[in-house]
Amino acid sequence: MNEENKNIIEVKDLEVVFAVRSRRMKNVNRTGLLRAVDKVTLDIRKGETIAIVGESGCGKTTLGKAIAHIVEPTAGRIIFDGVDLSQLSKGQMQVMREKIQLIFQDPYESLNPRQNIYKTLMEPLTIHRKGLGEKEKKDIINRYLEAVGLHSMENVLERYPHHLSGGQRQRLAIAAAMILEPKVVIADEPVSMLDVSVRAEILNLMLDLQKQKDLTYMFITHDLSLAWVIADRTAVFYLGKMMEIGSADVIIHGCRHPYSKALVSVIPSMGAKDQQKYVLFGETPSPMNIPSGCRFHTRCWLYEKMGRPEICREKEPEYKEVGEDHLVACHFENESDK
Amino acid sequence: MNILELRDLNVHFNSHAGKVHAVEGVNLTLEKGKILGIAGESGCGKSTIALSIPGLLPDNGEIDAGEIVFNGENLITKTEKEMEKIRWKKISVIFQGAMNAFNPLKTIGKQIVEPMQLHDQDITKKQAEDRTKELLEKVGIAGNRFHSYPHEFSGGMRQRAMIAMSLVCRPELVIADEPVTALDVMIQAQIMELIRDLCKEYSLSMIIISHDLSVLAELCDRISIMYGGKILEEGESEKVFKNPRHPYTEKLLHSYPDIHGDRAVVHGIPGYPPSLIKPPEGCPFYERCTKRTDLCKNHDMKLSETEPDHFSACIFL
Repeated sequence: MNEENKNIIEVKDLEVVFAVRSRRMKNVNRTGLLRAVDKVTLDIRKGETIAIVGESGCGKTTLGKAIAHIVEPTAGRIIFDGVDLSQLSKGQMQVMREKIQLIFQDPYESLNPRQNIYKTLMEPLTIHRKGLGEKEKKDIINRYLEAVGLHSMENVLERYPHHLSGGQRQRLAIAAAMILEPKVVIADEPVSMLDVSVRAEILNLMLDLQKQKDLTYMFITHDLSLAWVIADRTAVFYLGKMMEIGSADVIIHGCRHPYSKALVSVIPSMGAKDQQKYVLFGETPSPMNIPSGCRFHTRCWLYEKMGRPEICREKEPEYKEVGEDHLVACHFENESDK
Repeated sequence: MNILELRDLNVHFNSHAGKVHAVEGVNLTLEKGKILGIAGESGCGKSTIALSIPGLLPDNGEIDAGEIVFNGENLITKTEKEMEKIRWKKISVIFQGAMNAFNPLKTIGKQIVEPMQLHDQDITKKQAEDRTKELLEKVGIAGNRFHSYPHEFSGGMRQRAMIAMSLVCRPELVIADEPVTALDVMIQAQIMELIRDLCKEYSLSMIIISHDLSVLAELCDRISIMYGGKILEEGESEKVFKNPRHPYTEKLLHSYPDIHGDRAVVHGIPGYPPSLIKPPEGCPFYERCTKRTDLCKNHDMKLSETEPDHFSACIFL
């Protein structure tokens, strides 16, 4: 394996299962299992941007949280730079945490409203950089404020989140995520709350920082067209399972899984109005009750077109390599273009 | 025939910081049976228009000047009593985030029946229920969910129920403020398909307000681009999207990735929208425009025709 292709994170058979108590009926306390992430195997390469896309409830956020070890995986392994995270002690994990940072969707909720910018940025340094003096820490803070373009604001250190606009808040969240010089940044819908004209600035800022600092991004989004412009590779998730993974361009222009095809076809577009759309009926089934066989068969247009083959209901499809770096989990991926 | 015409509409809000000029000199026409889209960023005045038409501006909002002509009648001169007869029956509104506005303590069915009983005293309970069930089926919800509570519905289903509710008194015009925002992509596609079908079936006229140009591009016959309380560009939607003639529209279009176009990182629009308390003279986009000249500061922002059915307020057409 050459140096360029080295994986920074290897996720192996990862499962995250939550126990849910249903109180729908008064006297019955049924416990159910919610499979948020179901046997996911995924490599993240050093320096790349990998997009994780899917509808709400597909497990994309839980996957991100499991990799950052905010959520404890139920089974499977996460190997970060050759180190198996599940084997680490609490103390070792604490050290590891600074290498993987998160940026959340909502900058109105992810920042502490009672901490000014100085405190927000000082906190990670106080915890993880005990050796540094006050002056050095302040220099770091100023450097990062400049990196995210907040330095020119008057009295910037004394400002509180409510003084900032949505875009400025997300800049601050980015500075807070970057200040410990992580190797991997997991960004969960970082621009979906922002006005369109601000979105691009934040994306460009993230891409610039990636180049400067040789970062790896895991970009979680429901927006396929955004994944297309920002990511090197895209993985499509449905009900906790990865259905297809390939280069970002292939997922948009040459995807093979009927679910990916449906998602791509419904992207609203100014260009092609008359393109065929595969609008799926109904909603995603509950992750507490995942359909048998291929979990997508209950909504699959190809399953219907093929005359409801038994195999889709009976057997979970294996991943097939259909091109370079392109995996699909579908029994009939060959038919999806016909 | 035009079902709705806005003529030189000016709306302001009184705030403790001063008078906010939310909408200034807006002219719009909507042909019967067509869908008109109003696009723009937060604070451009698009929702204010949605509130002005059915006379639902909050107490601190006021229409200064202009006319809102609906089916040949000026709505501004109508009394509150007269407006009550128009709301729901002639014009209904789906507000932004309305799917979260259902009363959690009442069943969906009861809440949909309510406007019908209020506006049509003669209707029997049975008739109202039947019509509600029929409409629920139309928007893809089983009629027996009539007795369900809002928390038993998903977000997409609540939005469908809201659309059913807006149609309950057979209005001629439906105004929808961000009807698909905050919904999942697939649900968004379902709702868009539903809106298109309903418009055809009931020959509805519609105004759709959204910040998302690609959604409007798919749904609308005509489009108006708003910025700083003014309309900067307006016309047949295909023409505006294919051949934008205002720098703001152009920039806004480039802020979206288009999977049928180039795969380049999108460009933003640096800067902020102007203050509406002290709106700038001339073109409101001046501060952020890359093509500006001194002439723009005195430009009167009249829309001129650039090609048939396509108008722009830019001085450099």
